[in-house]
Amino acid sequence: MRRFGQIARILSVVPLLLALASPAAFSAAVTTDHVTARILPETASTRPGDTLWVLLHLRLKEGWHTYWRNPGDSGEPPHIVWTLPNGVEAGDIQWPYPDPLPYGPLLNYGYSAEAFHLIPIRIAKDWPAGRPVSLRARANWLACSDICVPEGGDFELTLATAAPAQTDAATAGLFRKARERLPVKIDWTAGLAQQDGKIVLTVAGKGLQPDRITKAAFFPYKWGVVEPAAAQTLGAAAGGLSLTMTPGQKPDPQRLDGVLVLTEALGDGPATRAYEISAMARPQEGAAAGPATGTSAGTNADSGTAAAATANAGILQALLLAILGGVVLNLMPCVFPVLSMKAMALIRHAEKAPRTIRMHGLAYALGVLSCFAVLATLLIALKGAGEAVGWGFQLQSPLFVAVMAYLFFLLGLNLSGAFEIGGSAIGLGGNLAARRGYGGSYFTGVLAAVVSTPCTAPFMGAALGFALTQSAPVSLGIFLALGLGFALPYLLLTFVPALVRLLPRPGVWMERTRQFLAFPLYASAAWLVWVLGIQAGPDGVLAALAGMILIAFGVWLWTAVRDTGTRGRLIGRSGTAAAIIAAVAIVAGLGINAQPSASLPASGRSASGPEFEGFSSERLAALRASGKPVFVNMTAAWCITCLVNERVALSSAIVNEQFDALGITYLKGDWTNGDPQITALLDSFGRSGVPLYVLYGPGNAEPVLLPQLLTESLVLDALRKLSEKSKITANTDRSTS
Amino acid sequence: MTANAMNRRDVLILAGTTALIGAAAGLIKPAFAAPNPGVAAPAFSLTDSNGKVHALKDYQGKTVILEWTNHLCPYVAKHYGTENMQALQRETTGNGMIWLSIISSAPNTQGYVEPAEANKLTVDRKAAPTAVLFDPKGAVGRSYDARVTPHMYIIDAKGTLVYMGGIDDKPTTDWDDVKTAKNYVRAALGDMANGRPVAETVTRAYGCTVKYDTSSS
Repeated sequence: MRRFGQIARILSVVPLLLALASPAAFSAAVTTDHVTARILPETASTRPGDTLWVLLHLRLKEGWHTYWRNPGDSGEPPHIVWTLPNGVEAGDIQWPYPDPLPYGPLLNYGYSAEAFHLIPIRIAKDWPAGRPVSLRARANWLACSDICVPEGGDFELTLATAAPAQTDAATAGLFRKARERLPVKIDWTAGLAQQDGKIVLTVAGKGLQPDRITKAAFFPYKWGVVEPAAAQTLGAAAGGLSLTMTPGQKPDPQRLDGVLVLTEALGDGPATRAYEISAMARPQEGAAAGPATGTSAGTNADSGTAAAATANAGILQALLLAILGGVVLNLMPCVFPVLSMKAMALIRHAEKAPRTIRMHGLAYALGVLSCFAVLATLLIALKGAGEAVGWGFQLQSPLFVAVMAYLFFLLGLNLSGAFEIGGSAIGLGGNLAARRGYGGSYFTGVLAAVVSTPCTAPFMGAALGFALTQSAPVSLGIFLALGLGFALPYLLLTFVPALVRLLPRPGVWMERTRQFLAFPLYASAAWLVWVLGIQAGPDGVLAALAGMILIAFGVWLWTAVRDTGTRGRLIGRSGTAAAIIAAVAIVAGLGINAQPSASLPASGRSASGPEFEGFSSERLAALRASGKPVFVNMTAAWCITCLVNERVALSSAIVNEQFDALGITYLKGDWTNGDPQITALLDSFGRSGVPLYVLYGPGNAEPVLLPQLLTESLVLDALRKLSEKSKITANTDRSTS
Repeated sequence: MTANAMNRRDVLILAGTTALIGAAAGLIKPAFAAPNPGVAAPAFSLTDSNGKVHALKDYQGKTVILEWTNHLCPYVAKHYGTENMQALQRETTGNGMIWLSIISSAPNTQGYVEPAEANKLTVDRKAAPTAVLFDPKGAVGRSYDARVTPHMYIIDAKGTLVYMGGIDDKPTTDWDDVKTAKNYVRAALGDMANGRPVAETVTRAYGCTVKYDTSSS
């Protein structure tokens, strides 16, 4: 039955072939001193009621450029004046995203080497079929190198009105290149805020993770709203990213329209795509009328979280919230045990001079604050250097996660009483006065802040991410306020001796409490191993658990040799050190398989796009064995390029129709959390990551690899080629049968 | 007692922390100093095509118009070819205003001229500026944030910058557009003559980039 269907489809191609032969006049190229210009129709014929795309293509001499719709500091975009018959209309030029073109202290937006200008031409429904359509255009452009020369040319083309014809490969290639750089319309939420004399554009949307983006640039449609030559800083925002820019000579605090160009690092190298962004300033809640100087992060991704609360607050409010957040951090399972032990030590030494106790409190607070200051400074410096990092960046390193798990395990063992460490920085419940002065308290502060980081990342990540979009002093201030809040309870205890007296008297309960508090630490360690499992898979879990056994062994060795001679202690302690080094070494090599993130649906259908089923190599092999055409799409929830490709190129009704018509089975593989079968297929195509798009023709034809940036026309082209091939196959089949 | 109680290591740590915070605070950059309408225009002192030195402060009490120019730029050519610029020069200087044409093109770049050629251009084009000034290092151009030719500035009698931007609202090289364009400079001068605040104080200046000396930037 399928064979008959194919023949019918092939016969339907015949009028197309006839149309190819019908006359069509193309405009000759206009060659000026610096540019070779052509206006090309996408197809040589059109039909009444259709929209035909034409392309003004400029090939520029080396060193010369033309301009985007907003030319930046100087220059002028090309413009076209059409002379068209009644019933034919030309639309606006569709502008591919530009390149920044610096000149001295200035910056222009434009194109070098080649410039593409797509224009839709609409033919009225009542255009008499068969009557050719003739288009005349006068195009003017400014070509510049160091100097500028206005140029232009007259063009004429005549199109047959018949069934749409096939396009030759060269023309199709030009149109494909023209569309590759067109901005994609997308349902992201964009917000606009003013901060310390800068403009902060926030963009929130599915799959948007700033740490996966290596480059971001915003090109405004309007002159003067953004300073072209000023640097733009990428940062994290709730549910997406932020871009901090310098306002231009004519700022508009209310509105920002333009094109956001993002580069994502993917398995097959970086992928760059442009998105149309329209951001509106939102009035600050409860603020007086007039342009708000505060912030209004435009997001609704997870309203109600600390992030949204912070985003809508003024700086003072943000600082207060940070202090409060710091206080709350003391209750986190990672921190509470450490703090309680410190507090119990206080109880034991309540009789000490209040001044000494106060100094210990200050030293502890200083330890906390310096740890937060170092982390914040590191983050700000990395950001300043253009690195795309967000808070919680530490947790993206499996090594860091594993070492933190070890640390919690070790602290837990200490509380359980498995070992005591005399006079060291992590002697938690020890004797205050016997420690090495205030250094011990200082390091307890540092330690408490370090062990708090795994808890800050998930609970405060978004809020701190927002803090990082602020100017350096403000974000540092927010981090320090968090540290201050964190140190506050203990500081209070040391400064108000009456509070210590309120605590129960020392006794056996303290030993029991101490032992009990080991369990939240074990729980924290277990949670971190789970995180590691997502990042590095079962191998990572095995490595971390083996490491923990090594650590337990090391601890046992340490205590076992405590009462032996000097030599025995030396051997035992070297053994402990070796065990700990080995524990770290076995997790050092762990790499990230995938980002922890929600998985994609296993099968279904996207919008009006073709239906898909989950990928498995068995299913692919079975389909291939039966000679059926297959389309494979390898994707991941954290890959923006993948998600956008599906939206713009794989979810339209036309693509769906073509899939159906060609009998293609659509297999979709989700690599969000890694998958050895998918990895194997990626490997076989020389790729180290998603996206991957492969079209297998019917029979045992060579698979066609599609590029990692898809457009609808590109997919349709590939499908058309497939149908031509299957036609040949069908023809040979028919002649032999 | 506090200092004594802290040992040397603690002091070092304290010092390190302070240094880190200081370094973070040092990341703040000073605000970009751009000329702004409503504030005093940047002072300058430049030599003209006849060797005479002109300083902005010499013209206190008079309206001063600055025109950044490059005679080979097609946008400048449009306004001189149509005599649009010369007409405005005659109108203003005839009313006691000062018109200074400034060339910020570096030597060996487009628009750079020797004094004799500058004077010849003035005669040939029937131009009527008060003076043609040379700014080959580009310092004055940069202090005014002059980006293109023509880029226009108006400074009032008190020395306040009241307008910066384009000559008009038709950013093309098409000579015919001059007739239908709205001339921003003439509009601003009209507002000033009528005692009104200038309606449009900043507009898009269109044209060719100023050919600055890039070696010093």
